[in-house]
Amino acid sequence: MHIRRMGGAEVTVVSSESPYFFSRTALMYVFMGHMTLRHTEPYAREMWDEWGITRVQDEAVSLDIHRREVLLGSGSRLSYDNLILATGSRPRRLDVTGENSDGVHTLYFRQDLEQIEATIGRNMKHAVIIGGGLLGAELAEMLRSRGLFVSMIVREKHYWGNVLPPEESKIIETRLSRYGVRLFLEESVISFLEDEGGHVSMVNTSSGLQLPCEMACVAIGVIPETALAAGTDIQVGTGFLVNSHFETTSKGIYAIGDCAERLDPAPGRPATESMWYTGRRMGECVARTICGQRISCDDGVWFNSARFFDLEYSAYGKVSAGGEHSLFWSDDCHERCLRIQRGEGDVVSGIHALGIRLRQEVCERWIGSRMCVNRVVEELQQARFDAEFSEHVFPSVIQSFRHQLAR
Amino acid sequence: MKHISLSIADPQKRWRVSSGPYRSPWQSRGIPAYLLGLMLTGFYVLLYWFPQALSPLIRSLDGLSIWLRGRSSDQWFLYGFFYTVAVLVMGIRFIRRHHRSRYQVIRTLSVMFFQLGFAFLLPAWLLRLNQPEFFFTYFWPLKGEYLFPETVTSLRDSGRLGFFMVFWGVMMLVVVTPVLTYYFGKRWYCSWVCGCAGLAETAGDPFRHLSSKSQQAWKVERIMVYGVLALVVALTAVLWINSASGGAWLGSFSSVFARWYGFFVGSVFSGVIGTGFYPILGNRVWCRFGCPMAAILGILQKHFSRFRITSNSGQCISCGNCSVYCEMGIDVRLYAQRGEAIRRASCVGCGICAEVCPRGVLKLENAPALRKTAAGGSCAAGENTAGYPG
Repeated sequence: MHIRRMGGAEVTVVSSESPYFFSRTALMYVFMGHMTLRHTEPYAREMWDEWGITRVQDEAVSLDIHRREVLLGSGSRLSYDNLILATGSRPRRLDVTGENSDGVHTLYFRQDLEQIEATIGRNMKHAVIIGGGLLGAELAEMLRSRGLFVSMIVREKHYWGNVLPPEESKIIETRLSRYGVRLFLEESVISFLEDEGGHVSMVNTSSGLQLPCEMACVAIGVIPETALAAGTDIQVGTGFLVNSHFETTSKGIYAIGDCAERLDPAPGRPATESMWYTGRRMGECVARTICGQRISCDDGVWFNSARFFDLEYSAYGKVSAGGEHSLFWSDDCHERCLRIQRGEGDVVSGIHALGIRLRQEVCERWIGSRMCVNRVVEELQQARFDAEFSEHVFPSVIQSFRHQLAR
Repeated sequence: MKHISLSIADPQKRWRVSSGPYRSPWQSRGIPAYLLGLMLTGFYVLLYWFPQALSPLIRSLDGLSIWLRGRSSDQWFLYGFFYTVAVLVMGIRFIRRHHRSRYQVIRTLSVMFFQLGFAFLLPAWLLRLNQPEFFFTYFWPLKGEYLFPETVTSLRDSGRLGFFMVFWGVMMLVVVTPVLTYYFGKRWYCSWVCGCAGLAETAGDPFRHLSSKSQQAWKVERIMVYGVLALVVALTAVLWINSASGGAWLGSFSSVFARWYGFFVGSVFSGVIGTGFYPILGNRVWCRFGCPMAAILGILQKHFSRFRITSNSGQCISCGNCSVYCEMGIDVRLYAQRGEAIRRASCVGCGICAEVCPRGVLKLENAPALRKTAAGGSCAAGENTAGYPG
């Protein structure tokens, strides 16, 4: 769309999964009956024609970089001047025995929903989710909405421990258990057992737990989908290797989103990031590059958001997973918290919020301009984004932060 | 090996995750929804045109009616009673569902209060005191007849209270409405006070997602809602001209016009379709396509109000919950995913979009736009504006 707006080049979108672009993040709401698949399409269907964007529902099988053509599953070929690879990723596998049994699922594609639905149709009761990240929590919410008994196997010592400090994890763990999710921390799966019918019946863990179940969902992250690089001069690490303008090593071919691996990631950022926001930003950047306005994609403060059942999480900038050198507040009943990371020179370098809505624009400005932590605390009210009439926690947050600063 | 039994992990006391309306045929235009719609429209048809068919029900309320109003029950008392019970019962359901949001709880208590107090008990009490029955929460043009010459004359002649009622209606329209709408948007009326909204937000809540979000519906909406407003303005003008000229100028035209307006807009549109079609077309059909008061408030909201729904810059994940649950058919996501504030004439400020958003992107706001402070700079000695030891 950005390309159409700026340059007017012909644009063709190839996808085998769906004829219309849809929001993958909304799949859980389709499963839960909050919306239909059609609702997940962010743009009205007429719009694609209005914008002059051609859609092809087919699989891109391979690339012919010399003739500048994409070979499709149907056997036809599409020629291109510029090619953007946005092939995304695929679910990471555990590589343990029994992983291919019926009833062991992942959630990534639209089609995965149908398979999970089919398993649930077998009148089952117990589900085990492997992986304690964002997708794990989403799966837990989905399955709890159908009244299943849900257990979660998490490798880390505390929930999402590679990203969150223990205090934040604790709040999420409490929320998960309130919603009836049983957590098994510091566990990993060693095998799945199946019944005579080839259907999963048990999950065995490293510490010797045996969890009976009729369904298991593996949600341990994703790996970039790079099959299209075969037979081309596109270099691949874990993903398609790209420079800061998302150009691969092959001329006229770009890669963005989950499938791209940055050769020169911005300081403190990983080379591959499988995130909705990052992917969207990359799309805007690559559109500009192709239309001749080369800009750096690194400006702007990193952020992320998620939800654990009804507990909202948002993060701006960098917060260390250890939680050291930061201001921290949480309410008495452990339902929400706020953390401000103190960077070098006592400037704010990151903000975490759980159960509190913050104004992104304000947080970005503070972090981007390296504002002094003292001043952030005094101006904290400006970032308040909670709904009207909601409990006003900021006075006690500010008071607590002042005390911590004075120490 | 430890063998864990998972069945004990789920006591019924746990917080529940509810599945959505698209898993219920009642709420997703299944057969039960059509039957319910048929029942509701059937009730309205009987109520408006064949009230004698409802006489057993009407008679059963005689006791309550005599106690409240000092006279026996009629079809409108029956309607008011059902209406109020629906708002109260379904209001409690709504509050239970949204108890974590104070905005939703307070707003719902407000519509329940105005329905029970101002649209049911107070008019009944006025009748008991032999005063004209008057609804202080309805104004022209929604209640067009309140500024028709016939009503104005009869109220004025009925005594001091009647005169006050005319004065109240004019003041609410000319002074209070613009001021409140400037500060709070149309929501002060459309989702806090109005009785139609009271029913829509409580009894109609299970059907809010059924409103059409298409561009086509938006086009129809603009033609119809301003069309009805033009009709009621024209009708009022014609009636006054006719009454000033003693009926000489327009003859029976104005009374025929008034009868047709009452039939098509008052009965068929706001009643039979507006409420009867809740399970098919959603809960705000009348408010969105027909209400002339909403049209005026919408113009004020769009051009002369501080109210807007702010989008939290880039945090939208385009999931579409906001659009699905907008009862007014606004494609909220279209604005949210671009980080734009939403200023739409039709928005009634119910706040559900902000409530269902999984990423905290939306916020209803009346405050003047945020004042930007200067960028921070480093933590030099003089920079410690906190006044606290660093």
